[in-house]
This record gives sequence, C-alpha cells and structure tokens, in this order.
Amino acid sequence: MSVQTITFEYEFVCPLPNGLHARPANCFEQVIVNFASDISVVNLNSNKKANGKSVLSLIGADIKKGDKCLVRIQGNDAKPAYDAIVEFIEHRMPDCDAALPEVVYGTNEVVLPPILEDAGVDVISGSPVVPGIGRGKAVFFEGLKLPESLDTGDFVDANEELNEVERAVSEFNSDIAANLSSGKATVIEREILDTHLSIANDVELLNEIRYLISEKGVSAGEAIVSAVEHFSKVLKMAKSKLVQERVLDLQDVYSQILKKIYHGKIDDSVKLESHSVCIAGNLTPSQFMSLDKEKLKGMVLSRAGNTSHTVILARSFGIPTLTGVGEVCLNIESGKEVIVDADLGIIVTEINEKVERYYALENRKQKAIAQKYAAFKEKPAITKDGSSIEVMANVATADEVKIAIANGAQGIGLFRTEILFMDRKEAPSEDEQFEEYRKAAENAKGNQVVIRTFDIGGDKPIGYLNLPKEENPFLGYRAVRIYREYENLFKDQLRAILRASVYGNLKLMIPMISCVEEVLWVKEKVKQVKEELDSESISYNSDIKLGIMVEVPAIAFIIPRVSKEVDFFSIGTNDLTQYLLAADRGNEKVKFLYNSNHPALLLLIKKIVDDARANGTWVGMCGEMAGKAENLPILLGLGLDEISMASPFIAGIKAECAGLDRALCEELVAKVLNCASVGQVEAVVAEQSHKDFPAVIEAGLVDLHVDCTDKAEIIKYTSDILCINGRTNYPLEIERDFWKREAAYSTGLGHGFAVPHCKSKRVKCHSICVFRLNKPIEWNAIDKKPVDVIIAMVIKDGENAGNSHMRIFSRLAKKILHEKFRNKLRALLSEREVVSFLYDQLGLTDI
Amino acid sequence: MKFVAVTACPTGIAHTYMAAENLEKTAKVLGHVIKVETQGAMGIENEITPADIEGADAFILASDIAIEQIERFSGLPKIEVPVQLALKDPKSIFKKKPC
Repeated sequence: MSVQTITFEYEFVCPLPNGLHARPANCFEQVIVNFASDISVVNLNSNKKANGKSVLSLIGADIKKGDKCLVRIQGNDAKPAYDAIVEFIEHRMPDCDAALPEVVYGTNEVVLPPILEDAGVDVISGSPVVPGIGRGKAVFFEGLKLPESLDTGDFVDANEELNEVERAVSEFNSDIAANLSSGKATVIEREILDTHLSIANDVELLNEIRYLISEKGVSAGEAIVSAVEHFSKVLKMAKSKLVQERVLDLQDVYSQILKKIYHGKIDDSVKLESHSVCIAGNLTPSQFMSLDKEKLKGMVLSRAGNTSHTVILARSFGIPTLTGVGEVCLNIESGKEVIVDADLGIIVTEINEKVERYYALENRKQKAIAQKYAAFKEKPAITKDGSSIEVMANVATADEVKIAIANGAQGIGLFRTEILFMDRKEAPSEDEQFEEYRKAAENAKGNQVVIRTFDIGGDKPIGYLNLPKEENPFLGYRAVRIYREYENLFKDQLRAILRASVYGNLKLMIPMISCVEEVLWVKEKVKQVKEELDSESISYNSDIKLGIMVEVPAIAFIIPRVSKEVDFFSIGTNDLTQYLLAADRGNEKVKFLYNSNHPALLLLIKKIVDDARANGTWVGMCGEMAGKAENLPILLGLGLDEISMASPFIAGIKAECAGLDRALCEELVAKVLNCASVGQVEAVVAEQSHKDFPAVIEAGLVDLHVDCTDKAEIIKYTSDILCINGRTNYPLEIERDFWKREAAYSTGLGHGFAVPHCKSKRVKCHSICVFRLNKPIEWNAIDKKPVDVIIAMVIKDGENAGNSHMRIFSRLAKKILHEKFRNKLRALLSEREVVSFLYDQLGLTDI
Repeated sequence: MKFVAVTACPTGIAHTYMAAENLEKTAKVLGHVIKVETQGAMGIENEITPADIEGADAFILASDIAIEQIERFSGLPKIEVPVQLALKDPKSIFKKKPC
C-alpha cells in the first residue's frame, strides 16, 4: 500500500530588504534540508521556480522585496515541514538578514575630473591600491579550467568520477571547516566561507554534476564546468546585484574543487597576448608572478584587500591596481579596450574623443614627471644644503630587488619573507629559501639587503602552522613571538640567510620585538646556527649585522639598552602608529585616528632616532609613512639615516629631497614637536613648504605654444604644470579650486586675455602661470571674443592677509588692464623673456 | 564730481584690483576725482576715511559680495554695480544716477 502523499501550500510576500540572496537562502535551506518532502518555491511575480533545498536554485529565482511567493511541500513529512517553514517565514525570516558590518569600498569618493565628467562615459569606481594608469584589453581571470591533458573524448568510469567529486567536495568542506574554526576569519570572511560551504554542497548543482557523469558519460571535470556554467547563467540573469555577485563565488568554489580533483595538472596561468588589463575576483601571488609584466598594464581585483600579497607584489612592479570594484566588472566585455585609472580610482570602459584628450594630457604630465625623476634615479638623495638620506626599497621577492635597484633604490631596507611561506601546503625548505636570498643578495649588486625573518600570525595566518584561535591577533601570537614554538622553522630561515650572506651584503632583521629578552634569545639562536654551519664547514658572513623592527611602542623607550645588543633599528610605522594610537587603520570607524602627523607619534620617532644616534646605532624607517613625499621634510628633520618604500616612489622622493633644506626641516621638526594636534602639525608643515619655493613665477610655469582646445583642458594643463614643477602633489584638487571660481563668473577679461585664479590649500606656494595658445579658444569673456593668452594665478590659502607675496597678484591684476603690458606679453619670444619681464613689471627682484 | 568707491570680488585676487584700477583710470578721463578702497585677499587697502566721505558727492560700490563696514557710507548717495561692470563698461558707472 502506498503511503498517501500530502501537499501543503503556503503563500508569503518577501519581507527582505535585499531580497532572497545567499544569506537568507542559506537560512531557509537549513530549515528544510532534513525533511524528506519535496519543497519548491515559486516566485509568483516572475514565475521562476526553485528547489527549496538548493541555495543556488533559490537565489536564482530572483525573489525581491515585495515579491509574492508560493511554497509547495509534497511528501510524507509535509505537515511538520509546513509548520517549520511557516514558523521560519513569519518569525525568523525578517531578521535573518541583519546588516553585516559594511564593507566600504573605494574610500576615496570618486569625483571625476571636469573633462571626464564632460565626456559622458561610463566609469566603474574602485579602491585604488597601486597608483598609475594602464590601458589594455580586458582579460578575465575567471571561469573554470581543466587540465590540458584531459581528453574529453575518453571513456570514463562513472563510479570513479563520482567518487572523485565526492572526495574533492568533502576535502573542500573540511578546509572551510578548519578555516572557520581557526578563529582568524573576520565576520565578513566567515560570511563568505559559509556561503562557499553551501555553494559547494548545493543539491541542485551536485545533482546536475552527478547526472552528467552517470547519464552523459562525461568526466568529473567536464560535468563540473558545464553545471557551473549553467548556474552562472541563471545567476547572471537575476536582477539583484547581490545574486549576480554569487557568480564569482560559485566559480571560485568549483575551481578549488577542480584543483582538488586534478591536483597539480591544472595550469591556471594566463598568457597575455597584448597590452592587457586583468580582471579577477582575486589572484594568488603565484598567478600574478606568472603574468608577463611587460604586457600587464593594469589589474582589477574585485575582492583583494590593500594588504593582500598580490597587491603588495603589484605595488612593487608598479602595476596600476584597483580593488573593491564589485561584480559590475563582470559586465565589461572581454577583449574590449579599457583604462584602469588607479590615480582616480576608476575603470573607463568606453573611450571617446574627450577621454582620449584627457588621457593624452594626463600622459603628458606623467611623462614630464617621470622624465624629471629619471635624473634622480641614479643619484643619491641630497638636500639643497648638501645633506643626504639613504633611500631604499621594500620588497617581497628576489626578482623585485632587481626592479628596485633599477628604480634607484640604494639598497633594500625591508625584504619581507612571509610571502615565501604563504599559499602553500608546507613551509619552504632551507635550500629553497637559500636560493631566494642568494638571488636577492646578487640582484642588489653590492647594496645592502635587510632580510626580515618571517612575520607570520596576526593578519598573515598560515594554514600549515596551525596557529591557535585568537581574540585579538594583532596583540597576540605573531612574528618573533612564535619563533620559540617553531624554532626549527626559524633556524632553517637563519641558516638559509647566513648561507646566502656570502653572496652579497645581507643583514638580518627581527620583527615585533617588544623586550630585550627576545633579542637575547634570537642572538643565542643565531650563535647556535653559526656554530652548526662552522661544524659543517659551510661558509657565511660571520659579521652579519643584526637589527630589529621598532613597531611595538615599548621598545622605543629602551633604545639605549637595546642598542647594546643590536646593530640597527628600522621603524615600522604602520604597526607603530596603530599600536601607539590604538587605532586599527583597517577599521572604517576609527581609521581617521590613524595619522602619521599625530604629535605623539612624531615625538616618539624623534626619541627613537635621538636615542639610537646617541648610541651610535643606525636607524631607518620602512613603513608607509616613509614613502609619501609630503612627509619628507619631517623625516629629514627627524634625522633618520634611511627611509625605505615601495620602489615606484623612490625617484620622486629623491627629487623632493633635492628641493629641501635640511636645516629648515630641522626647524620644522622643532616646531611640530610642540604642536598639540594633527591639525596644528599640518598647518606648520604647510607654512614651511612655502619657504622652499620663494619664486612666484619661473620658466617652467610659462609655455608660449600651448595647444589645448578648450577651457577645461587649459585648467587641467595649468594644474598639471604646477604639479610637474613640484608646486603641488594634488593637481586635481587645484583644478577643482579653479572651477569653483569659474562658477561665479567667467575670468575672461576681454582683449583675448583670461585670468583663471583661485585660492587653494593644496598648492605649496603662490604661483603664476603664463600661457599663449596656438589657437584661440572660447572663454565666455566680457567682450565675447575668444582668448589666446592665459595668466593663471594660484594663491596658497591660509596665508596671512597683507603678506608681501600677495601684493604681486594685485599688481599683476592691475597691469593686465594696460594695453602696453598686454602687447608686450604677446610679443615676447621666449619663456625666459616672459619671466624676466614679469619680474621687472611686478618688482619681484626686491622680495 | 568727487567719488569714494569700494571694490570686492569672490576670491579677492584679481577682479577687486582690476576694477579699482579701471575706476581710477576712467574717473581721470572723465575729469572726476575718486578714491577707491579694495577689499580683497590682502584685506582693506587704501581705506576710505571719514574725511574722504565728508568731501564726497557719491559712493560707488562695485562688488559681488557683502563688504565690510558698509555703514560708513550710509549718508552718501550710492551707485551699486557688479564688479564685472567696472571691467566691461566703467564709463557707464559714472553716468548712473546715484540713489
């Protein structure tokens, strides 16, 4: 006798503000997964039907807020299932999608430059993590790959293939479970992991895979590719962005499962044919390294963080990179030419004439800056008054050492070794490490390379080390603190570094030191390793220098005592600032507190440098603070021996250095150390910067053959010229300040003259630019006539009224009204003549 | 006639001073006497004193913004124009009827 099948139906209106996306679908699936009945959900608005037990199928039904839905339950346990579902939908469903901590992408809000805004093209915004502009064909790093050796025509043993799928999925499940229980995952990461878990085990998807294998006789790999493609299509059709976003997760999960089935046989590197912009959810460091850097012009990584290792690598290769783009980048047509502008934080997907003009101007500016910097690459960084500071590079691989030296690095101030330990099943062997360090030493061509022993733990967990779960990893078990437990690993690294030390100038540096005992312990281990090498007759540099990172504030207070034990210090400002100010720079709510101009941080660094100096110990800096040009006056004034940064910044920093005066920088530091707030420090720095640029006009600010075609281009060109001449690092903001003034009424004076002008906080000093145009342009002037001479004036905002420098502008304004002055300005033959004419007319010689 | 005038513009960098220059030039051509105070980025310059006001027939205000100490001129007939007019057509300002 057959058991009677009962059918229950229940109608509801979706209450979820974001619709039935992955998370609520997950909850729903959990409620019903253990009932035997068939349970379907029909979106009555779109007539899309879903299997209630399949998350993918549920989210594919594209149920939005307010959609009417019908749940149909059929089977022996239909009644209890019905009760559970009604209970869930009525009582728990509305709250099952509580707001997650928001992932804030693109911290720089994108305000397009006027020309691009005017161009009316679509742009996608993202968070710039490596600056620069790159142009190339869109190449997607998505989709699933099968081993090349897999012959799709072959007969397959269905049972074997089915077993392979089961095994791979269950391996994947245990990986995720291990990851979840490690306690290292953030709330957002846990959410992703949970979603991945439900996607990997999705009933509909697995049924499809099984069906293809057993009924169609295809291999596990082909079945997976075809099933994933099918569901990707369904998800992409959804109206909800949240649902579309699951495509990347689906592909991510199953590409991992495919790798588990075919082990090392899948080659997921991509060969670039021409100039390319790579678009991916994320890239592993090894995938990145496999790309041809000559052809890789830009990257869009929708989910990589600022500190992901691929991003760190991209930074050292200078590949313009955006992250946090979201899944809109999936809509970019593969093979279409796009521009990644990581200076602005956008991807331009449509290139029209205005876009071309904008980037032609932008390119001209960047070339001019690069040309100016090129001269500094080979030279040491020397100030106007002849004092120097060593400028070195932060790197993570031996290959980068070569690039850094070519970029002008005078050595490697920080070689991060963690990357050697990441993305792998087991730690690298001593020999493997030795090869890498030897290469680094050789690539540095006699310059020093400071090798920092592994800083693992905290934000850089490593699977194979099984580090315990921690409430507060940044204040916990990381770097030197784990060396005792993993002593062999540490000693292997020391052996590798010591063995490599005969191939160049290697130094040894220990991270996260917080007390003298740690230093003494490390020295004991170094001594032991040296003795081992001696007994094995292996040569090494017995005089290798040992230094420590100064990143725990405590160590900053005992520098004189620690100086007796070490040869050098390197200040790691990223962590030092976080620890000192108790502000996580990755936390949106408190990151505004993280500021390297905090007087407490400056006082602390001053103390570190002074105490190290007094004890004759070398002291450098390797945090992000060291790579920013605007910090250089303070860094010089603090008296650091060395600063180390990502290598693309090096030439710019050296150029900046050439314009500074050490004595003035020391005066500046004396002043900022008395400040009470970040705001005061910034004001003092701004005031000082004026002294380095006394001349309001110079030949570099005059151009008698400008070929801009409209006002917007002129304003950009003016701002760019100021940037090229080192008068601002923020040309775009100057541009906006000009436009603010133009919005009041046109600055076209008649007689073919225009005087765009503004006050700006972003200019280092008062400046006047003079341009003659090859072809007159429209400026909406008083006399309605086109304009062919531009005199642009920028006043440094915040300057005291009545300052003698300001008088220049009123004098100039009055002069322009005189025909004789205008005629002369039109007739002068060279930039230099213009400068001396203005000097004379404005009485500049006497100031 | 004897005029006192004040010029001012949004940024106080260019138009304030150009307008002042033009008013002075034009007054001379037309045979008037004028003293122009500028209120620009450098603050108040060539300040108009009570004695200047005492001897003046009219007050010209060429400005796009609210100026400082306008109450000084309350006893004088006033010609009020946008600062741009002092560049575009300064002669017309002197032809206007003060009120």
